Amino acid sequence: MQLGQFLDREHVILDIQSQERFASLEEIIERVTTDGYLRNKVKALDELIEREQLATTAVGGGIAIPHVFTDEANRPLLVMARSKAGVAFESLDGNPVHLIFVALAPRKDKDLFINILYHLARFLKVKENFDDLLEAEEVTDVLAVMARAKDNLLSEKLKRLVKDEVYPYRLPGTTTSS
Amino acid sequence: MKPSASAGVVRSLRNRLLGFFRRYQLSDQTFLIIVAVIVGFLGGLGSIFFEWMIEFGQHFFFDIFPRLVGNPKWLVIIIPAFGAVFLAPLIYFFPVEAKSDGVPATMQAVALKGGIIKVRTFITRMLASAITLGSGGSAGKEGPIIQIGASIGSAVGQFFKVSGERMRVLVGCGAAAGLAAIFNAPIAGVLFALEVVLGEFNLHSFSPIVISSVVATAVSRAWLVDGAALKLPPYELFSYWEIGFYAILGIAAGVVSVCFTKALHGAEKLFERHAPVKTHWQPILGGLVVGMIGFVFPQILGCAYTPILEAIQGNFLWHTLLALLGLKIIATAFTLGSGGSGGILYPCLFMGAALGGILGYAFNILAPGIAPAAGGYALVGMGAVLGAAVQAPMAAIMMGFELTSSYSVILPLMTACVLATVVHRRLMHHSIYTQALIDRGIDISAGREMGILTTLTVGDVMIRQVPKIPGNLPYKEVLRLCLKGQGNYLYTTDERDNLEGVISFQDLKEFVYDDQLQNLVYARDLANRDVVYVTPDETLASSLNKFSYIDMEELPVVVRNDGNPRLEGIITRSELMRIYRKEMLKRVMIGQ
Repeated sequence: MQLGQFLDREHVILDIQSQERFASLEEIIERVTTDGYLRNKVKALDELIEREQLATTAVGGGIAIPHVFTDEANRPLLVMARSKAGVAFESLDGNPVHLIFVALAPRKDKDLFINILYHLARFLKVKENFDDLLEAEEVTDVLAVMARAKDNLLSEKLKRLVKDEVYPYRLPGTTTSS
Repeated sequence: MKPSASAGVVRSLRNRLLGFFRRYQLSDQTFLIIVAVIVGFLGGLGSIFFEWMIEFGQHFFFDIFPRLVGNPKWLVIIIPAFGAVFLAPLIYFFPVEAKSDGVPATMQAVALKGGIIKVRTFITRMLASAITLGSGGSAGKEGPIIQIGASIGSAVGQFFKVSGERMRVLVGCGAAAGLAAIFNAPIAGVLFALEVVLGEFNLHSFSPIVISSVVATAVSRAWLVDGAALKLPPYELFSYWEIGFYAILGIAAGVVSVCFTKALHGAEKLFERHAPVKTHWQPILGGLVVGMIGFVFPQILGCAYTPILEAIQGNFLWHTLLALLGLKIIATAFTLGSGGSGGILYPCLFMGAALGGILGYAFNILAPGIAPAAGGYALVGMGAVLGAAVQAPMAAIMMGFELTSSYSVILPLMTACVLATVVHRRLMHHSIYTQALIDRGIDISAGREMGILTTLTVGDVMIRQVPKIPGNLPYKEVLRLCLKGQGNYLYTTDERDNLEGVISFQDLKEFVYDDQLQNLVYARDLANRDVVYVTPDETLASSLNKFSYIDMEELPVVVRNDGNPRLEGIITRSELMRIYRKEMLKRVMIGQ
C-alpha cells in the first residue's frame, strides 16, 4: 500500500485558478468526483476550512497539505492541485504555495491517515520529487512521480490491523498495487 | 415507665425469646415462621385498630362535627378540607411519612434500605390516613394498612435484630398481613406482598408470608366488625362468548388505569410546582375540590364499599357511572396529589366497578342473549383496573376470586386482568407505584442493583482532575502526554474549558515519531468530535447505560453553561464498578 494509491487521476489539477487560500480549497473540493469518495462536498469543505483556521497546513517550501478527518469521506483520498503563480496560503515561511495536497480520511482510518500525512510530507520535502511534480506536463507524469514513493505505508503491525480483504484501498485510475 | 426502664424490659424480653430459640436450636426457616406468626397477629390487630380509627374519624367528621354546627346541607363541601387542617401538623413535622401513598415508600424501603422502616412511620401513617379517610378524602385504606403492616413487620424484625434477606421477608409478611386482614383475602395478600412489595417470588419468603397472611386473616375474621370488609355477590358466567366482552373490558381497564396513573402524578406535580400555599396546607385545597365533587356525588367520598356493591347490583344508571368514573379519578388525584394520606387500591376497585358497569350495560344492549347482566362486568372490571394500575395481575385475579368466592369468575378475570396489565404496560412503562418512585428519581423496576446506581449521581463519584489540552497542541506534545499520562484519553478544550473532542489512544495503534508531522498535525486533528458525555446530576444508572453502548473506558462529565459544554471531570467505568461494589457491600454488611 503506497502513497500513489490514494491519488485518483481525476483528482489531479494541473493549473488551479484561485490564488487565495480558502478559494483554492473550494476549487479543489469541487473537483472531487462525488461517487464513492465524498458524501457531502459542502460539509467536507467546511470541515477542511475549520481545520485550516486552527493552524495553517502550509508547512513551507511551497507545499501545503490541508487535511481533515471527516466522516464525509468514505475512504482516505488525496487531491493534488498545482499553481504556477502560487497561492497565498499564510505559510510558515511566508512564501506562496505551489503544490497543494488535500488529504481527507474517515475517522476509523486514523493510523493509516497519520502515516499518509507523514509519508507525503517526507516525499514532498525531497527537492527532486517537488520539482518533478511542478514540471510534470500531463496527469500521467504526475502519477508516475507519485509512484516513486515506494515506502509501504503500513508497517507489519498496521498490516495486521488493517485487513486488505476488508478494505482494499485500490482506487480507479491507479495502476500500482500493494 | 421511664425510657431506660422500658428499654430494659424490651432487652430482657428479647434475650429471653432469643435464648428460647437457641435452646431448641431452631432452623432459620422455623425461626422465620414463628416470627411470621407474631407479625401476622400484630398485623391483624393493627388492621382492626386502623379500621376502628377510620370509623371514629368518620363518626367525628360526619356525625359529631355537623351536629355541632347545626347540620347545614352544604357542610359536606368543607368537611374534607376541615379534615385536612388536622393533617397539617402531621405533614409539617413528618413530611415524608405522612404524605400520599405508603406502598411506594414500602417498596423503596425493601429495595434500598434492606427493609428498615422507622417505627414512627406506622403511627404517623395511621393517624394521617384515619384523618384523610375519615373526613371523606377520596382514597383507600388498603395502601396505608400495607405500609402499617410492613412497618410492624420491620419493627418486629428490628426487635429480633434480624437482618438482610430475613428483614425483607418480615416486611413482606407485614404487608401481606395488613392487606389480608383488611380485605379478608389471604391469598391476594400473599401475592400482593410477593408481586409488588418484594418484587420477586421465591420459596424462602413464600412460607412465612403465607403463615402471616393466614394468622392476620383469622385475627381480623374473629374480631373485625362484620360488614367492614368488602363482600361481593357470587359470580356466574352465562356464556363463553362473554370472554370476548371481558377482553374488551380488560383493554378499557388498562386505558382507565393509565388515565388514573397520569392524573394522580399530574396532580402531584401540579401541587408541587404551582400550589399557592405551603406543603402542609395543600391538602386543604385538595379537600375543597373533593368536597365540591362530593356535594353532588357523595359516593366518591371516603372509602366505603357501598357504591361498589351498588354498581355491581346495577343500582346506578350508566351516565351516573360515567360521571362517577371520571370524578373518582379527579377526586382521588386531588386527595392524594395534594398530600392527603391514603391508598389507591380502593379507588382502582371503584373505577373498575364503574367502568365494568358502563360496559356491561353497553354489552347488554348490544347482545342481550350473551351478556344478560352488567354486574359481572363491574366485578371483573375491579380486578382488571387494579391489576393494571399496580402491575400485579396475579394478586388482582386472586383478590377477585377471594372476594366473590366463586370459581367461575376465574376465566373472565384472568382474561381482563392480564389484558389490562399488558395495555397499561404498553401505554406507560411504570405501574402507579413505581411511577411515584420514578418521579423521585428512584428506579427499582430494574431490581436492587439499579436502585443503588440510581441513588448516586455522577457528581458523587466523578474525578475532577482531567487531562485537558488545547486543540492546537502539536502532535509530538500529544504523543508525549499520552505516553506519560495515566489514562487512555486526552480531552481537547477551547480557551474557556469547553469540551471539543476526545483523543483515544486506542485509536492510535501505532505512533509515528518524526518531525515531518511538526506543524501539520495537531491535537484537534486526532480528536473525536462526537463525544458522548454525562452531566453531574445524572444518575449512575444512566451513565452505566451510556457506557454500555459506547466502547470507552471513561466518559467526560460536562456542565451545560449557556449551551456550551464545560468540562468538569471524568467518570471511569472501573470507578463506577468499584463504587457500585462498595455500596453493595455496605448494604450487605448492614444486612448481615
